[in-house]
Amino acid sequence: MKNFQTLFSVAFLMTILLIASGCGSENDVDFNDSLTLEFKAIANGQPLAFNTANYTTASGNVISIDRMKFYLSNLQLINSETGEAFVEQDGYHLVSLNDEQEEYSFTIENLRSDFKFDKIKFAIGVDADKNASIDNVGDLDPTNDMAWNWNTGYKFFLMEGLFYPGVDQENQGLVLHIGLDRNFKTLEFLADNHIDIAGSNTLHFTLDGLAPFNSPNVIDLTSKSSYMVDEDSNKIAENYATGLIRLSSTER
Amino acid sequence: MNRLILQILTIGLWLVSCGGDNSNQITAPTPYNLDVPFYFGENYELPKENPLTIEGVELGRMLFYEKKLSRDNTISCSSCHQQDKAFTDGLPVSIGIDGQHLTKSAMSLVNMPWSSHFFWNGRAESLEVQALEPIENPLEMDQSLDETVSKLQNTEIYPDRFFKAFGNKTITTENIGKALAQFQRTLISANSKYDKYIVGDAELTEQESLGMELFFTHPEPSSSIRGGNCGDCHVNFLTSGVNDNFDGFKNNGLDNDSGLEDGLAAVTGFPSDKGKFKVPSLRNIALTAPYMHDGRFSTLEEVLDHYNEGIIRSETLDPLILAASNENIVPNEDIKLHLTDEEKEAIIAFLKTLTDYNFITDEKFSDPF
Repeated sequence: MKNFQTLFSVAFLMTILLIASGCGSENDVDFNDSLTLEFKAIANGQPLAFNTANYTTASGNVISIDRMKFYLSNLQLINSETGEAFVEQDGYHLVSLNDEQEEYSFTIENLRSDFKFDKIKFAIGVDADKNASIDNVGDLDPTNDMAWNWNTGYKFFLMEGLFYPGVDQENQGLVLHIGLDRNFKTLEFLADNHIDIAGSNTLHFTLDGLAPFNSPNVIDLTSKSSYMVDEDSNKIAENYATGLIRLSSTER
Repeated sequence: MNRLILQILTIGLWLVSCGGDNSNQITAPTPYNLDVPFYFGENYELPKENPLTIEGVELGRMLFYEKKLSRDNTISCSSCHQQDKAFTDGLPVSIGIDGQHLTKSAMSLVNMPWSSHFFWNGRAESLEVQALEPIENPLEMDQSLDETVSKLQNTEIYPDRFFKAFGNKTITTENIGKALAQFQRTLISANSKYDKYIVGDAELTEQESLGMELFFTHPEPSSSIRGGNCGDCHVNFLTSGVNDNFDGFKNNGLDNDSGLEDGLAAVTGFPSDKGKFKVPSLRNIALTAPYMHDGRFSTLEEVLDHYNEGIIRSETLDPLILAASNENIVPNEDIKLHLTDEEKEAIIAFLKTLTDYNFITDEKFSDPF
């Protein structure tokens, strides 16, 4: 992980240089501020209990969840009034949540302190360019369990757990391994007020563990509890593009 | 050649340092440059508090083969971790001091920097900690760490070797652990046919190629994608478990609930970890029979049969095994992968490409005595 931080520093330095070169007159601006993005898993509005609790999906399926992971990439912080934007270069973050790690956060360092933004954009997934490469950039690493195969790209979203079909029925594996370029989804979040980067800020996001099954597509696991690359996986991706992640609060 | 130059430099520095008045003046040991293939990725850590040095690695190698670590001077680490068997012993469960049987099969030692939480149940957080346990274990070497220190201290060679590696002639258990950990971190296996294939220096046969595809593919019958489902746990180039907390520990369907050992649950205390064991690297797997934590399978064919049609259900059975089949899963039927004989043979052919003959003969890793 330390290596990734180094990579990020380099990426940010490059971004800063780009911004700085466009603003020659602003000599007093410092780049000492940071922004943390924090993710917590929830279900039914409460913290998600990995492995232990049973949850009911919109279609009435009972499931438990062992782990959730997804790639967050192409992060942008946008001031929708001025159009000014911070674009994180080569930022690929593997957000990973399980019973040993109930929160996941990462921090962007060296942000320009006079920057204000109200819109946050990022994608779930790995863009086509990097998905076809075996470069180690950010948290992209063909040796982690998000690579399908070293020549076929990454899983963008992973959920594993169990599906309990009912009394006298054997448990089934619940496996969502979603990827492929078509399932790369960009999300946008609006903050209530402009967020002033000066000082240390944290954006709190929730990840709804039941969202992949519920809306807009209701997924019924009784016909199939494993989703990977077939057409049905697109429905899961549409769901994670819609209801999975919420900006719950901001804090400084 | 670089190593030779480094060694000459080291000797040079040492000579310079001995030119002073103080013959005990500390000379920093020489950094050891670990040669790591790029495709192994960066998800590894070499602990800052125990950096690899040429002197430390060499000392660790001596200790690895040192029988004085055992009560009756008959057993070393290498007794159960033999280089020609990719650092296993060919036994279902290892045999320790006085011919006593242990309860687990000796693990292969390979590509350790990409691994964490050692022993089959993950109870050792670092190699430094892991390395000391077998010395004291009454079934293995049965010697207190104090006694071990004292025996090594009273030798001709070791005080000087510890001085060179750690700057202190007084031997400590901590430095014994550090030296053993350093040596083990150098056991990199990256010269198999598969490695040569990855970097474009070798071609796989049609059968090996099919085996590789199957190995790394989770089957999806609705898309006619056939897979052996191996790579779900034995991930990518390293073919070992995920190096992320305890993600690399799985219940692979060997026993039913009443027969399951505690496994990882003994470490985490979570009932949901019962029966989970460390997913081992499959590097050199053709040399490390018998298989599984208790050595219950003698051949790779038996292992493939287990995953194909021998999975036993339990509460903590891995979802990736439960959900994997090459035919549509029929609720309540036995868990089967439905691989053909030809596909099983292809996977075994691929597994044999993971054998690294350099690794099992490399003199850097062999008995220095």
